[in-house]
Amino acid sequence: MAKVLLVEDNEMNRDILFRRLSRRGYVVVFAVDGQQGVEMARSEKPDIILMDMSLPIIDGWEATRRVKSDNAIRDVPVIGLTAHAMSGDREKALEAGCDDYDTKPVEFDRLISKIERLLSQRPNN
Amino acid sequence: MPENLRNQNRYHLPAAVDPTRWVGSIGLAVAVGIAYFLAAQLSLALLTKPEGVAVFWPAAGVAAGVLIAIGPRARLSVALGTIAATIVANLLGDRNIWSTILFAICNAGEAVLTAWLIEYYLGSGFSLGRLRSVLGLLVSAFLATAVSGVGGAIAFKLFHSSTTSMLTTWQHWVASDGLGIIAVAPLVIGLASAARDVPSRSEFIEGVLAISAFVLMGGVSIFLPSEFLATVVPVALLFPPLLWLAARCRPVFAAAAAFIVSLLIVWTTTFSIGYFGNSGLPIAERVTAAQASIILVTLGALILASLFAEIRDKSRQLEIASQHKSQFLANMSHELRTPLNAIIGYSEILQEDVKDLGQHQLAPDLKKIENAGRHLLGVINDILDLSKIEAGRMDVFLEDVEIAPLLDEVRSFIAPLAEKSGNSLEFRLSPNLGGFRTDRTKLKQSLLNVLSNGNKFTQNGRLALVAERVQGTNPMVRFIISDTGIGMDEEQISRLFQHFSQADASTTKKFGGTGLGLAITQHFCQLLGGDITVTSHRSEGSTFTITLPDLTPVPPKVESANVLRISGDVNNAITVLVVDDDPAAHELLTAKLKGESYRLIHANSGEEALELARRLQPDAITLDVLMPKTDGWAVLSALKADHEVCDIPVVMVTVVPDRGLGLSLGAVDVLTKPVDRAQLTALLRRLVRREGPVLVVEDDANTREMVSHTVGKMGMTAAEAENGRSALLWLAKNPAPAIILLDLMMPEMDGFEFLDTFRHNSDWHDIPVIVITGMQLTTAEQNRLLGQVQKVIAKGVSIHVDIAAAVSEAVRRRPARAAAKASV
Repeated sequence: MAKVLLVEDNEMNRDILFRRLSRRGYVVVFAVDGQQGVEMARSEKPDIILMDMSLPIIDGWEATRRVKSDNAIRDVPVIGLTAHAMSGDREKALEAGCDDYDTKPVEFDRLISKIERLLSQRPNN
Repeated sequence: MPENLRNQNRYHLPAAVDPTRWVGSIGLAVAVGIAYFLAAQLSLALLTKPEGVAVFWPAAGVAAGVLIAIGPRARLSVALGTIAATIVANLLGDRNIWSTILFAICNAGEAVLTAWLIEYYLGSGFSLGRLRSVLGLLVSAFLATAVSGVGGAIAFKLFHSSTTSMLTTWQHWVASDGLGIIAVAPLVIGLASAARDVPSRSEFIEGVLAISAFVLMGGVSIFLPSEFLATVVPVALLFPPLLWLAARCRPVFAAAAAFIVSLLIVWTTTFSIGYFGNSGLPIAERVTAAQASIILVTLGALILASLFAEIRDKSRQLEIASQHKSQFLANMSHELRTPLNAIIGYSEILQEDVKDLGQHQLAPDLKKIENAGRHLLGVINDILDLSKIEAGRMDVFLEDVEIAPLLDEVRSFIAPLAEKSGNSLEFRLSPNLGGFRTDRTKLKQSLLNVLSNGNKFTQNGRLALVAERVQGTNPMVRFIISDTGIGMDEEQISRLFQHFSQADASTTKKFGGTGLGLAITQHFCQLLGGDITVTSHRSEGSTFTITLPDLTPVPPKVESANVLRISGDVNNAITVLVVDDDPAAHELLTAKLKGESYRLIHANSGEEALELARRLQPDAITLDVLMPKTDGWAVLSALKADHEVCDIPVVMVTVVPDRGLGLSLGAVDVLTKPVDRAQLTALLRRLVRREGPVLVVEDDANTREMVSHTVGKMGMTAAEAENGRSALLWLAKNPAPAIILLDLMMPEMDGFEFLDTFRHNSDWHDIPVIVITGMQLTTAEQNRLLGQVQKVIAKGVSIHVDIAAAVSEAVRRRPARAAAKASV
């Protein structure tokens, strides 16, 4: 089953997504800040990354940029998550290299469909 | 003596004889003494002849003013200075020794008493910007001089065998010293506060002009021929410049103007010219008229100035409070959303859990929690949007939006709500709608707001949305949303788009909602260059019409753009693109930018501007708004949507300024025609050139001097540091430099170590660094510099040419990417 790297600093948000994704059968690993997120993207080789944008140490935009500039992991799709559907957040996330984008609190079914779509587009699938 | 007491004594002794304090106090006493003496001599020179009556005594104002401005610690200095000056002046005037002592005490006493009364009445916060302070000064001045006047009257009677009655002498004293304090003390106090907070050049020039106007009108009033004119017209003449002074300048300018006019009045009274010198009247009446005029002019100016200053202060406070409110709302919304995420998320998890466990009866309650949470989230998001709009921080992001799929999304969201209210939902899309350029998120939110609003006020009726294109000079898209609900009357419509206001306060109770949705929608539509309108009748339903322009730029035509029109300094690398359809405006702007040595490229239309911007990559663009075909807003939107040119700073130049729209569409600033030269040049300088000195970091003194010299010849200043450590110290203490020229091999801290620390400070991220080195760099070293420095210059024969070229390139705000394109 696909492995999801969840990068989120808020414990409850992490717990909610962790449990709901696990229930759907995903293997979930998580990181609590941007730097750890980038390191785990390298070491855990996830199939997809869910990246919160406001993170400590380095924020989600910068972490995404680093993932996307690393040849070994740049093909891993990243879905950016931000707090509010403000225009601008979406553009900023996509500009940083996010493959897709959603707002918190997530509509879970919509998020799942985005994950599935990105996973099906991966060349090795 | 016990040891600790001796220590204490030793500790206290130096403080008591602290030389700096004493020098300061004595200096102040001498200064006050000299000022008092000079002011007294001026008064004596202005005594009426031959009677010897002083219309006013400005010296009293000097002493009181200094004391009020500095505070109680100046009391002794002011008293001593005043006493010394009085003694010197009186002895020169061959006066009796006893009266001299009495005068000295009275003069010093009235200053000290005035300041003490003010402090007693107002505390230490005297300000010419407060009415209370000005009135306090008036009362204190006359109370203090009423006391000192008794001493003065006694002195005149006893030691000068004055023939006038003591009461009359006392009246003269109170009038002239009181007036002196009221006319001069505010000027001294105002000058002291202006020295602490120096007025800007433009403030100063305007103040001097207003003073001149006031004094001119004062002069005209005094020298008017007829008595009738002289009593009625002065008010009309003095009032406009007085309003100017009060409304636009600091109170010190009003005080200065009143003082000059007072001097004019005294001078004309003394030398028997003009209205107050009318020799047909007895001297006592002329002096009284002069004194009355001085107090009217002075109090009028001070009171009006303080009232206006209070108003200005209040509006500044309101502005700050409003900003704080918006910031607070934004912060608060974030704080509220975090726990809501948990509420919504866990209620969803529980719904899944109860389904798995077969406890289906619990699901509806959990769904209610989730729905309530989502509703609350919507309300908070509305508040956040509005606070962003009010704080002017709402950005617009333009993209090509396909209309039909967007409306499908809107429909899928609204359909369940409409069904719940028993409303039919009908979307009519005219054929070939296609797409248009706008902000997708804001358009969607606007449509959802209006539709859900219509649904909220309609039961078992009909909701309809019509989407169509409007043909015309500017292509537009129109969305007409109608319902068959309760409708509104005229009065309700007028309050519809106001924040926190639903059409009727009672509807809030019945239908819920924050009343923010429509206000936000209106803001959004206006941000996108369009508008929302409404028609409605009671119990017949409402129709909302959203009209938005297609912000797609018209494809560029290359008719005239092949021949470039260049002016200014044609060889300069820094290019400004000037866009205006009026040739005269081009000439005017060229003249205004003369001496700034930019290369100016001229475009006559929006299409040409877009083409030239892409081709030439200018460093800045000035853009007219009102142009035929593609107007300035459309050009601006097109520029900001094109990633090749979106970072070129654009300055809008317009007769009808709409700063909000300009800034939200991405302009750097919006200037009003006719353009202020200073404003334009300052703005462009900031936009196209990095400001600040060039920091030269080099350990070898000769090289450092040579590099600084090269920099100096380019018209820039150089700051010097002899190694990495002192460079970091310099950076920490000073504003950011324009660029840094860095040697690599240096003692204490070399260039590499410097860069490691330097790049970790985010304040310095965008300062370009140019390395100047005699080292042969290894590949590893080159890699270490990569991405950290803009250029590496090898020390050699032509080094100053290389430095000049690199510096002039680095101070450009826009990096010279697409260099091939930029070459004309």
